[in-house]
Amino acid sequence: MLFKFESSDLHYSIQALGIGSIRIICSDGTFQDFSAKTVEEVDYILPGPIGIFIDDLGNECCILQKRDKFYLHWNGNTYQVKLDSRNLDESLLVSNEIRSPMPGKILKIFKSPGDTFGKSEVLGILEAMKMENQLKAGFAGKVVSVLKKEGEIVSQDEILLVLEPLP
Amino acid sequence: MTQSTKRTIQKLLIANRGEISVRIQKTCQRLGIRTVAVYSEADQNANFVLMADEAVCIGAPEPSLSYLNQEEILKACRSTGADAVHPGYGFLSENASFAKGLADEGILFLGPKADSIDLMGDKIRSRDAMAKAGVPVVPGYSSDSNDVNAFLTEAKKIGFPVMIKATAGGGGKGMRKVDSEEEFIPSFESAVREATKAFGNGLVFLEKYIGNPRHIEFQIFGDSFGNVIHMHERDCSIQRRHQKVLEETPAPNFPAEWKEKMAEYAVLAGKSIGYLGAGTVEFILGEDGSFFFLEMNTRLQVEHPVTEMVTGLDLVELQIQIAEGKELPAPLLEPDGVPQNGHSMEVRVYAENPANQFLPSIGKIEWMKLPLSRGLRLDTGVETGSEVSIYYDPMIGKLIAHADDRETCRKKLLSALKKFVIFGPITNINFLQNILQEPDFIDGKVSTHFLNGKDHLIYQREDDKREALSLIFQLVQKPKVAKSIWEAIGNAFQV
Repeated sequence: MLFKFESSDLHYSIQALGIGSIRIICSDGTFQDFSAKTVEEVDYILPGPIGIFIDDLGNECCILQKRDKFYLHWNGNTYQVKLDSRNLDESLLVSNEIRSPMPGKILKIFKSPGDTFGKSEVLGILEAMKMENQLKAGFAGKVVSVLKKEGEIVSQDEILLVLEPLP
Repeated sequence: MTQSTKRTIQKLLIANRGEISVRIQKTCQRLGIRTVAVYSEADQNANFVLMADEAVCIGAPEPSLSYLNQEEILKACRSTGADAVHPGYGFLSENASFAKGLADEGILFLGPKADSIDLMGDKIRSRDAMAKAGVPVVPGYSSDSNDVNAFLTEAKKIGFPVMIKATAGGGGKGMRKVDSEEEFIPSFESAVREATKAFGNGLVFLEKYIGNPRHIEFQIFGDSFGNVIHMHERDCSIQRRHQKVLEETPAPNFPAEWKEKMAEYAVLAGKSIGYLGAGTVEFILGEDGSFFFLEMNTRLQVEHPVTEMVTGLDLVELQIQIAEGKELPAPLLEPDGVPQNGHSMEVRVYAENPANQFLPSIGKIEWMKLPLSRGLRLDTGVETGSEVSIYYDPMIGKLIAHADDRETCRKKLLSALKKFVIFGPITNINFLQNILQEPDFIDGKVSTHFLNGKDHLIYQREDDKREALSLIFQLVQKPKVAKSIWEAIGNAFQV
């Protein structure tokens, strides 16, 4: 899952590093870790829906998600990021492992160990950020093992299925 | 100056849109004057249309087909029986033929006489008129023809650097700074080409270049009894590409002796042309206190609220009274009759992206939360759900603060900008905050070059962006403490 700020070519991906820590990885090769903030939800406004909350410094902040855009007002500034889902397919594997591209919930697994699949066939669906993400095969092959079940919550980059190419 | 017949305005048509139409209508509501809004098809659901007593659609979204369409606006006057028109700023506010067209129909125009508009709209003629009246003008040269050699001779007399400017228009087009004799001819020819393309008229004139100039303007008011008064100054030095970004009054680091002299000339400028109504005399002020007439704007300006905050006056109300043939109120005619209490600053909030060359950021305002407090004023024509349109300038509104002193005012405005939330279009709010926090600004060291070389003001800090992203990520995860409200609305934020 890649985020982009307007008028900057840089992309950012997010990794949850255990409890209470988040890593922001930038496409320029740098990354920065942030500890999770204590936030207190205060209000919830429709239309929007707008979430109003108080951050750890006692400031009032607001957040809105609209389709693939997130708006956050925090620390006196408004930030706007877009989910660049176009890159999702490319980030999918040409390796033998299907890994979760972002933290989410396994909605569907369509294959069992031993099943074969064609190139670009959808092997499963990951639900994240109110969107469904298809887990596609990068090549034609056979499923070796399925490591997660439907309904299971996964973090980013967890191995979900192990595959092998057809000879 | 003869006394004109007194008339009471019953119904005012506002030949404009957005925030200025809203602002003018508010005064009308207070005074019991009925309002007529004219609007283009793009604005049919806008605030300024819905709040008016009557509204008339005058055409397609393109300004030339609607807000600049004199015929349609006159038709709207006739069909609604409006007895007066306020042109706002921009559009037809400085269009002499419009003013004349209204006068011909016996409709009052809340602006100066057509002749004044005509004279002051011509940069060369207005300079000459002011010079004749004894108002200092920037040393310069103008001619009926673009004879480059004659211009070069005069440029040498004035002394380099000189400015070449277009006579038919502004906004930086047809404008060149020439530092030396060698550069003159190519710059001249380039300026003429640019002016011809922009205004259809390539005639240019020369002006001495003033170093580290400040832009100081005086609000003036004239009535039909020959009275012309000033209502103090505004410092509008902070500009980007000749567009004002921030305005304040009183001007910082502005000695009383300089002010007295400039105010005198501002009044003289108005008196010399028998000025009627609200106007602004713009000066360029050098570091040594030398000042020169730049131009006169024959309309109510965008930044008029700062003057209203320190004087306690409603300038639109005064415009109405003057158009009705009344004399300026007696207390204002006394020496020092116009108060200047405290300090006021205004910033123009635009839906534009500073990081993308300040290009407009159009679209729907998904949500807007306004900062509200004592000493704060927001003049806006948009709200949650409004569309920032491609057809008009993408102004969200003007945020104005007032306080007892400059530093308190600056802090108040900064705090308000931090609380101003706009989800939807990208805005220049972060840029405005950065200006207010810039050390030179805090010290009042302003000039029209303030923003030059200060690109760091344009961008959001990279660290902050990343931290914001981590916070977004955290917020859209399932909350650690499940609250019933989350479940009730269907887990909108949960993964």
